[in-house]
Amino acid sequence: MTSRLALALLPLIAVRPVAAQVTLQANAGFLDRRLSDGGAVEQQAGFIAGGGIALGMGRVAFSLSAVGGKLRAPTDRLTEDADYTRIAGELTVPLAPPVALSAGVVGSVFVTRVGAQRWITPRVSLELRAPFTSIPATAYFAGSAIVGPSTNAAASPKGGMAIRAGVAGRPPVALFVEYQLERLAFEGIAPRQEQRGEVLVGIRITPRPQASKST
Amino acid sequence: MTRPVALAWILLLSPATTHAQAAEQLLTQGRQAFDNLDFEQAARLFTRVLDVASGATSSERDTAQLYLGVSYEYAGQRSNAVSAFRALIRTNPCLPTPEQYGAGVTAAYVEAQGGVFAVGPCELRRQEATRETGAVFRIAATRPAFVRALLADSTGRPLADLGEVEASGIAQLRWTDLPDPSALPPQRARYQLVLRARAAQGGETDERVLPIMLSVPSVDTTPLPPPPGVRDFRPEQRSIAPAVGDLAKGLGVGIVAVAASSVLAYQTLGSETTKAIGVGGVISVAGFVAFITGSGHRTIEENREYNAALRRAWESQRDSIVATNQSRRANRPIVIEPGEVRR
Repeated sequence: MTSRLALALLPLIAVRPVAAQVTLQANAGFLDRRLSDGGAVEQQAGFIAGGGIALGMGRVAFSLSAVGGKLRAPTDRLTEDADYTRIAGELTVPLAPPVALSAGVVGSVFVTRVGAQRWITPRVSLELRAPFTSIPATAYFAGSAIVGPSTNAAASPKGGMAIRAGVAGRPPVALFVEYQLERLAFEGIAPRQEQRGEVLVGIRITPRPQASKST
Repeated sequence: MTRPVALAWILLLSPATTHAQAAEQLLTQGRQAFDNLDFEQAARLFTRVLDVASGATSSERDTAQLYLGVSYEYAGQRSNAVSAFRALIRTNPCLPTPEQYGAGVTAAYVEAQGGVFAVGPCELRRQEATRETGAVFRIAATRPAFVRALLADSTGRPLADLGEVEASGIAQLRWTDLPDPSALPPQRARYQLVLRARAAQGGETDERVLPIMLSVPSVDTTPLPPPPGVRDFRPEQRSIAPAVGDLAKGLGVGIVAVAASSVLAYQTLGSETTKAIGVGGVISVAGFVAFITGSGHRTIEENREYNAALRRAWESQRDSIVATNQSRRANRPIVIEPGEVRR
């Protein structure tokens, strides 16, 4: 029985060629982080840069990206400057030609002279894509629900929302412009509010697809 | 009432058919008298056949004229015989010398030939002539002559010069430059073949008018191909709808980005409008560029070339069939038939 089951499952687990499409990305942008605990508004903003890689296999795409930069605080306030680093991983599955569903995790770190504040924000996103017919570009808009965020900060986030909108060219070489806005809601008596706005411009390069082997 | 008187009354009172019957009857009586060696009576009867009032056909006239000459010769009236033969030769120069009636008749006929300058056709039969083969007429001249043939309409108005031939005895006149059959009526139409002769020596001339009938039978032609239908053509211009759709996409996504930003951003933390409008504006501009591009390049060159090739193929096929039909019509044979001879 066991040997028969193994034989039956063999075609499923055997190594077979799948056309894999790799896309490399380089981007730079401006990030504006603001928070308030009911009093003054703290702000950190600065230029960020980074890159990423996306691997498309059939209908599924997995992307991994990282950005970092120096966020400055206004000198007239008590906010500290911070070194910002963010790493994001996301799995995307198209539901229909104009709609894609993605799930991923974003981990970010704000390092100041006082200490390091780490955030992990899992999220689920629905993206609407509107490809232009006359030019090789696609406009898109995505809404995300941040589910179960965690942080080492004193406040306890209970969730959040994010949007992403932009326009991007099509492979093999594509420029893109993107706007992101993310806001978090917190529990507790103090009405803490936090949001991150970001504009990114970058380039995506998709080399000629090559057959790879996947299990 | 005696029989000749009764016959005269019949000739005077009866219509043309009765005249024809009278001519035939006179000819039969004349031949009976000739066979009974009553040559003077035969000559009188043949003379009456030649009377215009007898209504004799051209063939009966030629027969009567020949027998009249022979009868005169057998009756010992050489001068009358020569006169009768001259009349016969003048109307029908193609007849051979009647040697079967003996040396006397032959001598009289030869004498008659020497005194007559005449030209005429020989055995004009039905023929089908094309512009490639031409038409052939056999003509005869009693003496060497230059004979010019003309085609004239029924009123005698010359239509075409068929050429000139030098004839001595019997000669062939070939009409090569036939008219375009398309210019001729499909039904049989009356024309005239005019032969104008001038003797090679001396100033004698003669002219003979021969009625002929020309007709052009119809010819099978290939029907023209129908032009391509509307469904056969491909659209040469793209719809403007995709371009409008692109504009709507760009404007829509841009507006949604700005609106979602203003809804989502905490008002207490400050505005996100600048960044949202900036990127939303870029998205909208992309949609506008797509609209301009799409509405400005709507011509589908591939389909335009396909449609042009479709038209050219149909025109080529049509022109080929038109040329073939024209060739068939132009090469239709012209049917030439002898017309009714009236003297």
